[in-house]
Amino acid sequence: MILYRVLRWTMSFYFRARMRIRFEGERNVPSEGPFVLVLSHQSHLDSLLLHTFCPRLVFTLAKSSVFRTRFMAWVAPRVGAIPTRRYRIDPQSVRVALRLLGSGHAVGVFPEGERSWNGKLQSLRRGSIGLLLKAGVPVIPCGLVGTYEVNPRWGIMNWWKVGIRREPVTIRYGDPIRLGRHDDRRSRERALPEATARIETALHAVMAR
Amino acid sequence: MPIHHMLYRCPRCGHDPLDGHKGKAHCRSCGTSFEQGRGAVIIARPSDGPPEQTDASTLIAAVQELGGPGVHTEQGEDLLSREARIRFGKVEGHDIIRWRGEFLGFSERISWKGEGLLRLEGEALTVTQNERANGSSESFSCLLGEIRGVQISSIALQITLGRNRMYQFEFIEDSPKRWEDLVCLALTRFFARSRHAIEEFKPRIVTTHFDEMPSDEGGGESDAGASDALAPAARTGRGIRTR
Repeated sequence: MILYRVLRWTMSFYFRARMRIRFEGERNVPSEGPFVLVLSHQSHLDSLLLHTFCPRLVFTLAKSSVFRTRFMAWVAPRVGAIPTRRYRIDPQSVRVALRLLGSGHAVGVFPEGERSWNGKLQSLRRGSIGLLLKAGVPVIPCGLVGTYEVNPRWGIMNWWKVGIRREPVTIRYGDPIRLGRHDDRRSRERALPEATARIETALHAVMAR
Repeated sequence: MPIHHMLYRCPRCGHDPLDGHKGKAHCRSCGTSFEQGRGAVIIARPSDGPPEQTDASTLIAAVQELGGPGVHTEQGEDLLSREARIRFGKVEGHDIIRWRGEFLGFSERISWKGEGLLRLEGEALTVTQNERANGSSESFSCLLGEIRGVQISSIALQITLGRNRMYQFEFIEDSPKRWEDLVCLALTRFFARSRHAIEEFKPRIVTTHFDEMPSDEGGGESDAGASDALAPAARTGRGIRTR
């Protein structure tokens, strides 16, 4: 993960010059062992900020179209992106996520599946919650508050605007949630509504301004 | 994505569509323009008053209130039919993504089929392709009951049919968000006729029967007699998950 570490270091300079970044609840991120970070998705910046500033190296599930060019197909896996085909149920991305968790890594998931248009939390996809239930590792909610204001889905971001009037962004980690391990499908189906409600509540809490 | 893709109808007067240029949307009917202010603030500049600061939530709600993606006829009907120029493609194969020799997953390979006119009419979604010089052409048509998933990816609309056949439509002028809203609304009405409510559109359509829903959400007013109009796949639930 040399490229990942180099880019983390480089991007941290850029983001600190561009934004006034605050960190809250970093003690909730385990220094070792597997966990899943669940994040609300409000901007293109979310995954970049997460990869740059999360205390642990994180692998995130990214839409497979990101990998379509040769350059991105080479770079993206080296900075912790795992391809997910969003137009279908993609068992391969689940297998890879579980494999990474099994070997003690951290995995980031955007359970809404796409960026929000209005900065509010959208409904969570059943498949993402299913992955959390199958993994059985601690789930840490993470809110990136302020990225919507910097680069909303419908807006245009001026990447060169650095130094003056830095926009405030807070990266907030919530308390770990333990959903238990649900190996069989029936058990996951039963646990799904309650798990979804718990994750939604936790995401609302970390997204509060 | 440009602002006029989100505000595909004027949130002040309901005129459809808005013109868009370089991060600004302008209504030809009432003269209001919308542009990004500081951060996520949207500044509405009406032709007859001072500028107002607003936000995406308020404007999206206004767009939906004034008709959303539907077309209002003079008789007051709310029709869900529309056509738009598109470039369309189909997933034909996948590239394998590896890291340190390990298999990570797939990235779909889109094979572009050319330009044409995408049309939603009644229960059919079709593409009429422009004529191509070499005479080769591949068309697209499906019934609403055959659709397994709908979503936007960047500026394109993705429609998934059975066996994970995915078609991608890039709009040359129209808004992909409008088309997502339009197809989702058409599907919602389509399934309501067989007394099903859609819980999730992506990655696949998940429905619940009205009888299984809490009473305050039930759609007792739906036209149950029209259930025969459902495509065979939807009736049997093949590919469409029904709880």
